[in-house]
Amino acid sequence: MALAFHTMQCLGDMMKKIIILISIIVLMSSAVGHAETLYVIAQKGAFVSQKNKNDIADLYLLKLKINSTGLKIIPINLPINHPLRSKFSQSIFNRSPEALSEYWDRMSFRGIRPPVVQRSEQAVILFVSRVKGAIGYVSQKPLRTSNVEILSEISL
Amino acid sequence: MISLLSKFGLIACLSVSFSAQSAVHNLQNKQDKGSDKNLTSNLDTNTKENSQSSIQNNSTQPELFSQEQDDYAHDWDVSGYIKTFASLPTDNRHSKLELDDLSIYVSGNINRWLNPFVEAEYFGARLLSSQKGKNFKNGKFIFERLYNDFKINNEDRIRLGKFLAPVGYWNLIHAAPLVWTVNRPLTSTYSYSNYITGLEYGHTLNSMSGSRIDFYAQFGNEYNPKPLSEHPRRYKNIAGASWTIIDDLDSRSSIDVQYAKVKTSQNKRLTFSFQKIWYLQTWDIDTQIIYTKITNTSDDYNTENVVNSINKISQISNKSEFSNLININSNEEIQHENGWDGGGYLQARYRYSSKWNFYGRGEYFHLAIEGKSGQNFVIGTRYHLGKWGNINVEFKSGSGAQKIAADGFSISYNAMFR
Repeated sequence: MALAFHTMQCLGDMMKKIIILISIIVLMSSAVGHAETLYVIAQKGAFVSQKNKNDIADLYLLKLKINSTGLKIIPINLPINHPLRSKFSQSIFNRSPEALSEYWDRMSFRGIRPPVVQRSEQAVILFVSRVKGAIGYVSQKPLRTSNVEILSEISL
Repeated sequence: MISLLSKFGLIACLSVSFSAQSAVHNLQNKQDKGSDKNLTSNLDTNTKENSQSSIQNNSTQPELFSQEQDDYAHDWDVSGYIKTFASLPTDNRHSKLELDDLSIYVSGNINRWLNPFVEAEYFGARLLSSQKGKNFKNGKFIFERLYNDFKINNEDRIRLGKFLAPVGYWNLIHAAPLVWTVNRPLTSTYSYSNYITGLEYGHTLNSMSGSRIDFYAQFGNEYNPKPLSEHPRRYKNIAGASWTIIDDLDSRSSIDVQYAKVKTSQNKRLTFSFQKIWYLQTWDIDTQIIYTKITNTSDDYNTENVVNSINKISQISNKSEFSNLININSNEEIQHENGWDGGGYLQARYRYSSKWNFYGRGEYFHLAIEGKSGQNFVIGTRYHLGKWGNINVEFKSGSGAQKIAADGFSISYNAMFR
């Protein structure tokens, strides 16, 4: 009886360890999943349809200046040394942030306004929620209660 | 027993996992809510890259950004650039240090009909020279661009005012921090009118590829021209067209044509240009070829015109510090009744790192004025100082016509500012 109880206790301890281990793995994979997805956001109702990578590229390359409803599009960027901007640049354009910055400098010299730079992801969300036509990108899924919606989810 | 324990373990595991995910989600919500409270203090409305001073938002004025009619702050863009330049020739020319360009440009995108662009430039101020008695010289101030765009619709636009002639990309994007070499190739500037004071109609053929076509014309003289030390001649009555085949992140190509009548002679210049640029991962490759046919009908090209030209230029040159150059230019216009200017370059830039870039260029050019050709090569490096700009060091060497073949080192500091 004592042996059976001891065996049960050992099995119970082992199960606890397995559960903790699995939980850690699940949590880690969940956290990694969040870090590896980029959300392109806009104000609710500002854009009619979902956007794919090419659409996002066209918006940020300033090829589309107004959307289908006649709204002026304002792409939002993070600072050039922000890690998410680096991932965004590589994922969408296969270019470094510096190479894209050169492109936007050339646009600016021709009178075409480059993307607006916001210092943080929170600032991007707030800007997008307040300015109709603004689009930005963030690493965390925005709240459903906020005034923004996801135009595209991009796996990094 | 083991089966029971496994089931229990699985249920517990899922339960813990679910609880953990809920906890993460709750934590995320809390962070979001927490950050919401700080959003207004965190919000930085810098409107452009590297900008450190701009409009600060605050929670009492959210409508500033949420209502389009109050959105004027987002409709304006102010930028500029500076280029200082030291030339250390290895031939018999003098060394000098110049403030070559100090330029500010403002663009506005207010509505369909009001889209002004102004670029004011201070240039050519000599700070030091090895030539005796010519250590310092004041620069000149001009409006390099001054126009308004009327957007008829998404595809069509009319530009009215003074603007850059769309002949090759270098003429459109000539700011020192945006081009790679200190010395601009002769191909990109010499044989046609760089500026137009008049009207341009532009039609976008494909907004995705950047394909477009532009037609432009100048009736009369250029507004606020640069002195003849900067450009070889002045023009009146110009017409041209530019077909941009593609203009995107990967490449750019265009075919351009321009017909221009030279102001100080009866020469007429018909120019054809082709440009192709590849923007690759670590390389940029850029090439342009240009051909200008120069004609002068004998009826127009009479002695009276020549004498008038000489008199006009003499009057100017007496008041100008650039008299030698002007006389050279006057001779240039008078000498070549018929002939051609033309040439081309091939340039490559290698992006070694985010700081270091290396470049090289070879150029060939035939000059009607000298009746002979020349060639040169340029090698150099650009060190990127981040938001503080760039430093270029380059060496140029050539042979043949002096205008293209001048040898020497050039060092430049250049930067964009916003």
